[in-house]
Amino acid sequence: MKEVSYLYQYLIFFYSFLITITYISLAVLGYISIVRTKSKYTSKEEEDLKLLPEIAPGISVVAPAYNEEVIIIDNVRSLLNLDYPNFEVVIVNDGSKDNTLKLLIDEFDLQEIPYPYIQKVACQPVKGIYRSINKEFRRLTIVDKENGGTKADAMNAGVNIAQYDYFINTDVDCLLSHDTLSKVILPVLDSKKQVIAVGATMRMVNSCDVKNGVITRVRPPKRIIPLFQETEYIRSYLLAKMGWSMFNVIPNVSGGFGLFYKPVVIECGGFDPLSHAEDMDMTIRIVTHMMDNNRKYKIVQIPDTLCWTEGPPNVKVLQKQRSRWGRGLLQIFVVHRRVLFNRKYGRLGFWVLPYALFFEFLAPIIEFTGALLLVFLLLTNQINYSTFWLMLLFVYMIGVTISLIAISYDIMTKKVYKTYAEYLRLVLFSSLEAFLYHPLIVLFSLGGYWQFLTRKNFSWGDMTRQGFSKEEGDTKPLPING
Amino acid sequence: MKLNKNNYRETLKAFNLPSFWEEQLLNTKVKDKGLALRILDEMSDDASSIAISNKAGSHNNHLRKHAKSIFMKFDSNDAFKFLEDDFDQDFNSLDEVRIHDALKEKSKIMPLPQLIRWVNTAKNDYFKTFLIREIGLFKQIESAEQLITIYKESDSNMIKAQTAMTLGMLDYKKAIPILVNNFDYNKQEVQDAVIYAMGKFGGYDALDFLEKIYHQTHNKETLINIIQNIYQIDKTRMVFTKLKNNNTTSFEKSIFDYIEQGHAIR
Repeated sequence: MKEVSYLYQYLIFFYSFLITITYISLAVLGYISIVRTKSKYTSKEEEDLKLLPEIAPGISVVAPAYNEEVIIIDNVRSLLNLDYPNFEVVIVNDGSKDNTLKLLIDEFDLQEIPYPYIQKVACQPVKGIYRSINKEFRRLTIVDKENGGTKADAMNAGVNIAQYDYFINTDVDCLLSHDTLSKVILPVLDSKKQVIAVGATMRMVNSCDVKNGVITRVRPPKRIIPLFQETEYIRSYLLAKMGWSMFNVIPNVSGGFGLFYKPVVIECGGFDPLSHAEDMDMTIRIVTHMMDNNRKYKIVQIPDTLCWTEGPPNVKVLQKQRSRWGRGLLQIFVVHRRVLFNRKYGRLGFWVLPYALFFEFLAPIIEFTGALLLVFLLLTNQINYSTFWLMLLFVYMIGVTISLIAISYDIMTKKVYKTYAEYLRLVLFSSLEAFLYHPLIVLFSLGGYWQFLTRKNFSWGDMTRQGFSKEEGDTKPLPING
Repeated sequence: MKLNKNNYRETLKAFNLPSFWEEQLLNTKVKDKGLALRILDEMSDDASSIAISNKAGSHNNHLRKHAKSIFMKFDSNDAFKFLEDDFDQDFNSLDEVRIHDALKEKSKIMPLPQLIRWVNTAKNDYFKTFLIREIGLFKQIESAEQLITIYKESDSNMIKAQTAMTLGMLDYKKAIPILVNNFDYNKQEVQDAVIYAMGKFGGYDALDFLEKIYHQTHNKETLINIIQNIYQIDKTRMVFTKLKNNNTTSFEKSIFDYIEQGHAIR
């Protein structure tokens, strides 16, 4: 038992060392990537594009909606107000049981139209297509379909309708920045290789001031769960993904926001309706498809915050979210196991997926077993306390430092909060993340793995919506529908 | 409120701003050079094209290409010299935006030279395709005959497709028999472009051709394009109505209804 314990401790040390080196490397690479991106693409390039509608590529913004009556109007207004010459908005009403469709019809003067629907990728049947009789809303199309159980199925219906070669995959609970489309298309234009996807930074809309679907004041979330998630997102996007983008090995273009090249998505058969991580699944499939066909490609990450999403307001909703992510992650390794350590898939097979396997998938398992071992060692008086506290402090400080670096990158990219005191709030709470937030993530992820392995039937699930437009102090959650 | 350009220029000169930013171009930092280029671009005529052209040899791809496009905009001596040799070895779609912007600005001052000249000398198919599109956007009808030759002789589907579209944009009806000939043997990309061109040409020959290929098409998206363009050029609606009344599938019926009720145009 002692030998096993020593071996485990050495493995943990080696594992922690590798994670630390990886994150420090990503931090350096992320910095270089952010500086390069900011020097190449400025508001001047965006303005030039907006002033040349005859040459600006068209973009379809596709957002599925299921039981979203609380936020649908604000969201659609926000999307219709995007500042770009050539775009359309496609909302897929995925069999909502509430008033989502009725609200849209009333608000935007919609009528059902005859439409030559072509099913390029499979999805549940489409019941009707709606457009507005009001020219002001000419860019809007509503797809009413039978519920497919997952966002992926709804996205496929949107892909079938989208008329442009590039589409944004986003959620109805997301608000996009008004300059999103001009920012996200620039790296597509500025490449000789085919850009098949572009990702950007997402953050929490909780506690932001929103008026008629437009964010008028960005604030960090007041509640602690979304506040922790805000820092987590900043780390993920500005450090990890910007770092990975230096080598064109971004493992995942987020389902909350991502630009995709439609022809490749269609060639891959669209989003997988059985996937619980349809974003990572699609990213891997389009990459492997390009590699299988010996076609050069690029996936780009830009540092700008373009999308605000409603974060889980409490532990219960966080648990649903993280267990779904856990199921999704394990499912990815099952479905795409042929890619792992496969030379044919280059950096994806040898770097990124192994990294995700060891340092994202296995991390909760290792942390949990480590905690159990720690309890055993404590009970059997085998702890070298001076080493223990030193190592714990080291690991803790690394974590806090990484968060600090990520927050500083956020300020460097663009100061979105009005005051530095708000950034300080992020910094202070990041020092508590290891104690208050991270253990929950570990437990919920493990729960997700267990759920996947015991093969329960899952549904996409309902999200408790707070709504965007609210008066000060109105934080009472609305009931879950369905 | 409209900007008083004269006062704007005088203010720039009074503060010696053009010279300041031209000096910044000599800065070692790429970021500062990039900023200087953008500022000089905004200053328009007051920027020295000589200072900018020095950056046209930069090792930094982004700076080099940006400098070339700004030079095109402002130089009065030999503005189009960078269109020789395919503009740049790293030519991409962002350069298309910048060059188009430069050509647009130049066209406001005087007529552009015939872009077909650089189409003939270009080796990069993407650059060729771009210039052919620009010929259409700037309505250089004098290039139409040469475009027909390019269409006949080119092996590149991308170039053929853009040439067809440009001939449509130029409304050069003499191209119709050329485009119709061998239509069935062309790739989908080229066929779609020919259909688009027919929608621009209008007239009996184009309508007749579209009606003929309507009955031969198996591709649903192409079918929608054909019917849309028929509706666009069929002023009497005789062909459109005839096809609508004879259609056999619910999908085709939905196309006719969709187009007739005006939903195809947004």
